[in-house]
Amino acid sequence: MDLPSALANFSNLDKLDVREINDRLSVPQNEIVLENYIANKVSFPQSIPTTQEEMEIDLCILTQVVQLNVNFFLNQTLKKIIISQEFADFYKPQDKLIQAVCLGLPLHGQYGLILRTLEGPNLFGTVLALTKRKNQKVYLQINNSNYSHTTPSIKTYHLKSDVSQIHLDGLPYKIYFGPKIEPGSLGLIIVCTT
Amino acid sequence: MNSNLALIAPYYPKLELNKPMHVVRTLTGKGTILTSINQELSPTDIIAKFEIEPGFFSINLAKKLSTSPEEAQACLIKKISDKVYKGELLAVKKSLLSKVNLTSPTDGIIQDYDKATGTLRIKFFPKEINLASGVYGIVDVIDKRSGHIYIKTVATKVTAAFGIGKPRMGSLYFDEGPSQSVVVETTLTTLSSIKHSLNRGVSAVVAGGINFRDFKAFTTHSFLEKTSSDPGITLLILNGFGALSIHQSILKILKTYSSQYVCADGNNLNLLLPSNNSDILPILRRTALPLPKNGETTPKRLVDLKLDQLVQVIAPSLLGQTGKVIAIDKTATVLESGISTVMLTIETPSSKIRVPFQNVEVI
Repeated sequence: MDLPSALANFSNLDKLDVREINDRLSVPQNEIVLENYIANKVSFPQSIPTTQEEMEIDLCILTQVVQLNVNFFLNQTLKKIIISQEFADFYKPQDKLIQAVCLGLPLHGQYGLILRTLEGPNLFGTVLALTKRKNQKVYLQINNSNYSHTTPSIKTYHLKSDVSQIHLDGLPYKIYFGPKIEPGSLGLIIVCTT
Repeated sequence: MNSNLALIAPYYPKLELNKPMHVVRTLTGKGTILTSINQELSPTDIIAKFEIEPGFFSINLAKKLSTSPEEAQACLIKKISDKVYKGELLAVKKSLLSKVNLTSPTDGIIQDYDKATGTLRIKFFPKEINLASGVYGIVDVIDKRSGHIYIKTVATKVTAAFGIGKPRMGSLYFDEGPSQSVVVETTLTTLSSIKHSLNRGVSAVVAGGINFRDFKAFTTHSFLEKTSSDPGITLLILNGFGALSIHQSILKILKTYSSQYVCADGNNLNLLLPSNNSDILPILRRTALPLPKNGETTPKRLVDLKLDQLVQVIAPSLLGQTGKVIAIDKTATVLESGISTVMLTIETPSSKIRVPFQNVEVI
C-alpha cells in the first residue's frame, strides 16, 4: 500500500526550474530557501502544505510539473484535460488547482475538464483557451452579464444553471461538452495567453 | 481529504542500536589478503596490504625556465621513468650569462612531458597501505574479485535521508578532522566545506543538512536515484536540504564515538558505529547474517500511527524536528492551506508542535 501523493506519479522532478517557479509567486522567495523547499518536497512527496504561502508554492511547482509531463494531463486528440482525484486532495482551492494545471498546458480552443475519481471520470468544467496579443482585451457575455479579460489572464466562472447564451467579442459561442450546453460543475474557465 | 483513511506513516528507522551487521573493508589497489574466513578480529588487526597510486604532480617546465617547451625538454637532466626526489636537480638551463637550476618539488617517477605545453608530470611513488580491521568482529566472506572483506560485527546504525559515496572508514571527529577521518558537522555542510575536507584527505562528511545547490554542484547524480558512484569522499546528509541540525539523541551517541573508528556508506545511506567491546565475539559466533547487496537501503514500510511513537517531521517548514506523539486528534482540521486533515501533537525536546499526520515519518 502506497501513501497518497500527487507528485509520486512523476520521475522527472529533478528537472524543475526554481527561477521559473519563483517568477510565478506573488512574493518571490530567497532562491536558496525555495530550492531547498522544492527539493525536500520532491524527497517527501506525500507531505502536505499547511499555510497559504506553502500552497501557493506547491501550485507553482505543479504548473511546472504539468509543463514537464503534458501527456499525463492532456489528451489533445479528444480535447480533454484530465485531473486525478489525488490532485484535488492535495491542491486547494479547486479553482487554483485548475488554473495551475491550465497554465502548464499548451491549450488552443475548447477542452473538457475531467476529474478522474475511483468511481470513474466526471466532466466538471470546460476550459476555453484563447490566444491573443499581450494586453489585448477579450469581451465575454454570459447570459447577458458582461465581462472582460486582458491577455494574459485566467479566470473561472462558477455557473450554477444551464448556460444557453455565451458571446465572445460580440459573437455567439457554443460550448459542446456535456449532454446539454453545460460547462460542468466547476464552470467555465477562460484562459487568455499570448 | 478523506478523514476516514487509516492514519499511517512510513516507518524509516533513523537509529538502530547495537545490531549484528556487516562492515565491509575493501582493497582499493593490488595487494594481499592476510585474513581468512571465521578469523576473529580486533580493531588493530591488519587484514590486508595493498598499494595505491596516490596521483601525480604537474609542473610547467617551460614557464619555470622561461623558455619554449622544446628548449625546456632539452634542459631536463632526468629521463621518463627515472625516479626523482624532492630537492633533487631536475633541469638546468644554461645561457651565456646565467644558469638556472630547477629542483624537483616532490618525490616520484617522471611520467611524461607534454611537448605542446611544456608540462612535466611526476607520478607520486605508490603507497603501501596496511588495511586494519577497524572493528571487533569475525570475517564472514572474502570476495577476492572485488577485494571486499565482509566482517560480522555489532554496530549502531544511523540512517541518512540521502548521500553519495562508497563505504569508507575513519576515526570520528567533529567539525574538522585529519586525513582519513569521518567528520561530523552538526548542522549545515557547504560545498566549500566538503571541498576543504576532500583536499585534506578526509574520508567522509556527515551533516544534518546541505543546501540543494551545493549538493547539485558537488555531484551530477540525482538525489532521487540510487547510485553506486563515488565522488572521492563519502557524504551523508541525515535530515534533508537546508540548515537542519542533527537530532540531539543521535548527536549524543555520535559523541560517545568521538575518535573511534566508524564506517560511512553514502550509497547505502548509513553510518555504522561499531561496538568497541570484545564481548560481542561470542554473540557473533552464533549469528548468521545475510550479505548486504550494494544499493540496498533500509526499505520504508507503512505502519499505523500510535501514541508514544518517535516521529520526525518531513514537511519543509519543520523538517527534521523529532519527538514523541502525545496526542492524535479525533476529528479533522481544515488547515490555512485549505486541506482537511488529522493533526498530531508531538513533544520535541524544546516544545510541543502540531503537524498533519501526512507530514511525519516514524523513526
